[in-house]
Amino acid sequence: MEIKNIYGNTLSFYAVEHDNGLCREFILENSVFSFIRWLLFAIALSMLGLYLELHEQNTERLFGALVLLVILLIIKLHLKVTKESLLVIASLGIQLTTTFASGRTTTQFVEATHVHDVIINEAVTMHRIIFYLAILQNGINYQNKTERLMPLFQNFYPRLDCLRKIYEGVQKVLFHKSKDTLVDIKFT
Amino acid sequence: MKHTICMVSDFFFPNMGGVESHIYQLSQCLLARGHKVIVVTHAYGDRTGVRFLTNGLKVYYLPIKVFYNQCVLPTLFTSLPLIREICIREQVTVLHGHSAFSTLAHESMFHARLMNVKAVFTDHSLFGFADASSIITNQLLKIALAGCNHVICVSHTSKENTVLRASLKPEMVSVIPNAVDCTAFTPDPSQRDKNKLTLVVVSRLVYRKGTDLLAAIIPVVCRRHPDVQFLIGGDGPKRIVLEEVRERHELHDRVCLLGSLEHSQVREVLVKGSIFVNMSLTEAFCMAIVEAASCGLQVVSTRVGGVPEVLPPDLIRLAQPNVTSLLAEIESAIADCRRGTNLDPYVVHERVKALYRWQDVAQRTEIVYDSIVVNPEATMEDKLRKLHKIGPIVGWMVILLAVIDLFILYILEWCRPRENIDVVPAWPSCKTSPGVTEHTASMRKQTATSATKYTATSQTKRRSSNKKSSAPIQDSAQTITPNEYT
Repeated sequence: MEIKNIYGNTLSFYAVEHDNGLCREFILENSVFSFIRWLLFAIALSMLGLYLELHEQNTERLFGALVLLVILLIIKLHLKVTKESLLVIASLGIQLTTTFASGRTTTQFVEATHVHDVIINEAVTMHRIIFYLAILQNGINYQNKTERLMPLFQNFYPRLDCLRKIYEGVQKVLFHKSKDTLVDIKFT
Repeated sequence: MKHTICMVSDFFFPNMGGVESHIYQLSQCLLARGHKVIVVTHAYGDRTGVRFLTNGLKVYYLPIKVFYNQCVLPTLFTSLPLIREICIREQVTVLHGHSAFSTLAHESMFHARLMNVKAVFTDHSLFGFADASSIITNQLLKIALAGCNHVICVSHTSKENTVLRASLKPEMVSVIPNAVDCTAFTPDPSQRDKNKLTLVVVSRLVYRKGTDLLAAIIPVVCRRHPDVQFLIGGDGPKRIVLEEVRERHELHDRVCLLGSLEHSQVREVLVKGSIFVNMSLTEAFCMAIVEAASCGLQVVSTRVGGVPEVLPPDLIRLAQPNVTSLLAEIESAIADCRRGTNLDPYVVHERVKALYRWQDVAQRTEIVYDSIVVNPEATMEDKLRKLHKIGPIVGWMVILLAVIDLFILYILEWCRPRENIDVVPAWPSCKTSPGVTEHTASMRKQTATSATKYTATSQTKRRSSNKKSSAPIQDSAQTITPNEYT
């Protein structure tokens, strides 16, 4: 399903259900590569290069520039997030997996006993006010605070309608709360 | 007609004072009347982000640094993105700014008018015209109120003052007095000292509140009446003057200086006395005398600002702001107490209770909102023309600012279109499922506890019209009975 994030970019969203609803997975995916954008940039840059007569330059310098660009590309691929998925398993816990463009993945797991609740909260940034999904953790002594807020999907910031779908799903799996008892807020 | 009201002020809970509690009480009563109310203020310490108070009163603590006296630095354009975002996501119809000292309120009203949101302003204080700071503030006020749809003042004196200061048309200024939560100020004559006559003073001990007058009165009254004692609550730079007087005339057993009081303690102090003395030199609307009268005390006050409008003549003795006149009135009040001809505390309480209710204030404010919302929105040209009328040079400068503001709005609309901003779901109404009520209840409990914690912390140093006022967190189960307003 296509959804938008707060920056207006399009993301793909999948909600997968396994084992009769005992386990659910929510996946947000960003398209890695936009061909048209790449083509436009490539044409513009090569034209600029031709105009500045870069091909007349000394090859050693050009090679140096090439190496620098390749390093930058690797760093970019290493840090660019293409997929975030939230795996919720009843009585086991929540796992957040972040996949980067280079194929690297990082995972964070929160045990079910440490999940106090999953909530949608609002945050004020310097220029924006956003909704985000967060896990309220308890039982972990973190910087002398027993409760800790773990924000989810921090790389994509999906919009509220998507957050609500995930929220309802998580609540159903973890706390067996159906949609009707949950919907405390109606859209105006 | 239901409105979505955005109250904006630099002064809000956890800060304590007249403006703060005014905003809180008004918001609560408007919520009870079915409107949607949000409050916008700047961050207080680590209190940033979005918080909820009793009955779903949503408060945005914006991450703006405080500059002077709890006010933010007037930068105008930096607050625009956040104010715009709030107006869009909460679908604000009326933006209500409070207090002439609050830069955030002025800035937001300026932005609101350019975003076609109606703006109302409540002025809580009186100003002079002569000194440099007044001249500057008045000029700023003129700019800030030029675009405003309506202005509310707390007394007729305050209205007169504001109309002159900001060169407004008198018909766009309404008078809606403050109110006092009389249920928190009940009389208790048993607390009084049977053998002595107690005079109570509760005010910040600063020049504006007439502490010097008090210092002159104390020795004379104590000499004439051996059974009179003074109970003085409040703190401030002039406290040293009172301490000197006490020292010089050896009145340690008769003059008790309590220091700064928490709002919850004010009633305990008031009920110990028979006479309340207010010697302010300027006052837009004196809440202290209403609280004192509500506790059944006889009130002696200086005839300044809006004070004569506050209580009916038989509940208050008015004196000129000089020692002789104040002494004469205090003498007559003392004589009344000795003869026992003063009014019964409970009768006075009932009368005051009938005069001042927050529900009335909310109802009257609602009438203001109704009247401005039906007016068609002025065109941008008209708005700029209005700004031009401020003054020959200032007018053009303000127009320049407005144009830059519009330009930024245009850029924001392009890079952060309103389709990308989520509209906030409404606060759940009373009929919610058990799980939800449990959640809200715990949230309420949380806010209530943090509220009590914060009440203890701050005494305002700010020059607000009044230091003390009704408690910020009321019992949420308070019944609201609409009262006819005439």
